[in-house]
Amino acid sequence: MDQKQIQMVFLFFFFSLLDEDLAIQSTQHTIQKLNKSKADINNQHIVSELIKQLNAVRSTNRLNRISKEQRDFIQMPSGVSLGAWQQYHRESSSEDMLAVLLCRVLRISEYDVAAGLNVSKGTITHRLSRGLRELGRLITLGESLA
Amino acid sequence: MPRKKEYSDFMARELLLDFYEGHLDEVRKQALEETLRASEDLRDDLRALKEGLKYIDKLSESKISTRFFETVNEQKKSEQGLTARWRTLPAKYRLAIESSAILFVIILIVALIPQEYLPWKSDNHFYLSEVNRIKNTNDVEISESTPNTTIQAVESSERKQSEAIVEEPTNLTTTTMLLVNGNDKKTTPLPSPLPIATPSASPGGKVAAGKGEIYRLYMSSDNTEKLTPEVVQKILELGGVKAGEVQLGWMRKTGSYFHFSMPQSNYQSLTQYLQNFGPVRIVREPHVRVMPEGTVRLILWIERNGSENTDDDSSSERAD
Repeated sequence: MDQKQIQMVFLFFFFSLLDEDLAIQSTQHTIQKLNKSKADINNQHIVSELIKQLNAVRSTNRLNRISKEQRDFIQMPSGVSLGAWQQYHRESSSEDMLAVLLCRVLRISEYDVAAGLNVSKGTITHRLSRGLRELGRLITLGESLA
Repeated sequence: MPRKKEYSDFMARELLLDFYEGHLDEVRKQALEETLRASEDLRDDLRALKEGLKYIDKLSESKISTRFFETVNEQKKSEQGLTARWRTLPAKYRLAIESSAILFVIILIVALIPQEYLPWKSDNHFYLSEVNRIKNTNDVEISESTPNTTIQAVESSERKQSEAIVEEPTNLTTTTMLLVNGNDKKTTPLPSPLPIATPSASPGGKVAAGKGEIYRLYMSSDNTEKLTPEVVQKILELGGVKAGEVQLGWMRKTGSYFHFSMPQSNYQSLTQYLQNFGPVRIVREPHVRVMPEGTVRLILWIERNGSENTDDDSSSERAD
């Protein structure tokens, strides 16, 4: 796997688990599995493995905690707060959040995401649209309260 | 002329993303614009969509520092560690291991605690009773095995056909006495020589084994049919109460059987009364059943003279 793919995997686990330690472990685990796999490592394959690993981690660990030690692995763009994403992570449905994360943050095509998740493209589009509207609503609400 | 499209709010909402990103054809675009003009909610949704896209586009520009790759390489070495492996185990396996460990600790604690502190520890001894069917007869032989004794009890639940079997205890933990009334003219020698009163190994004739005790009285008579009711009457007068399952003075072919308890204070009176009818052999044995203080339990066997028995101390008697 190349560096770009590794970064993509880590970003996925970081934004979906919001736990740096777990994100690193999950990244390593996923990379090992993908490297062992004899099939070509394409985006569909990566999406499929990402979801499997995410489900496995969710069943065994408490989630949604940022470790106290700031490791500075992620360099956020200026003016962008992780708070909105954390709130969205808590309040949105998992499917919508994953669609937004895979399609818009990691920039994987909707077609590849649909194949990796074994659903139709229309389903991914629907989830994406709904997820983005929900995210925008939370951001607007947060700004109005600020 | 192409047909004018009209969209419901639901369809319009689904097409908002494509509309915003310019992926709709002209016809659909115009139709959606008309729908948006008519619906405030759809316009709000479109604004929310724009905000969401704006945020996500910025979030997607997040970069990973080089320290990440250094840490990943370090963690590769430590990922073999037990803690890391433990965290990645599925929950069901971790639960199974944790619960097994807790169970092991509990068992260890219970095993190490002295037994007297255990709440379920009991001082009671349980003895097994066997009920054996004897060949060709319907006799029932009941035997009780107690430590250091070879006693065969004389209780039967079948009144019509079972026979009482008596065996003399042979160990030293029992006390055997022979009471003879010197003035008794009806004394009939018992079939076999009996040991004269010899205290048991314990001083004072105390019962060595078991916490309770039972008195077994043996005597014989020519006329058990006449004697039995009199003895029953006397026992009742002295406060005796049936202790076994059969009635007091249960008549058998070879004799009469009495199993009762009575106040200890009247015990002497009873033995003196029985001596009027002949020698009385008394065997005092330890028994598992502990009677209330001041009460004694007795089994009296009056054998009918002339029945075909061999009164041997060391062997069991069988009545015809």
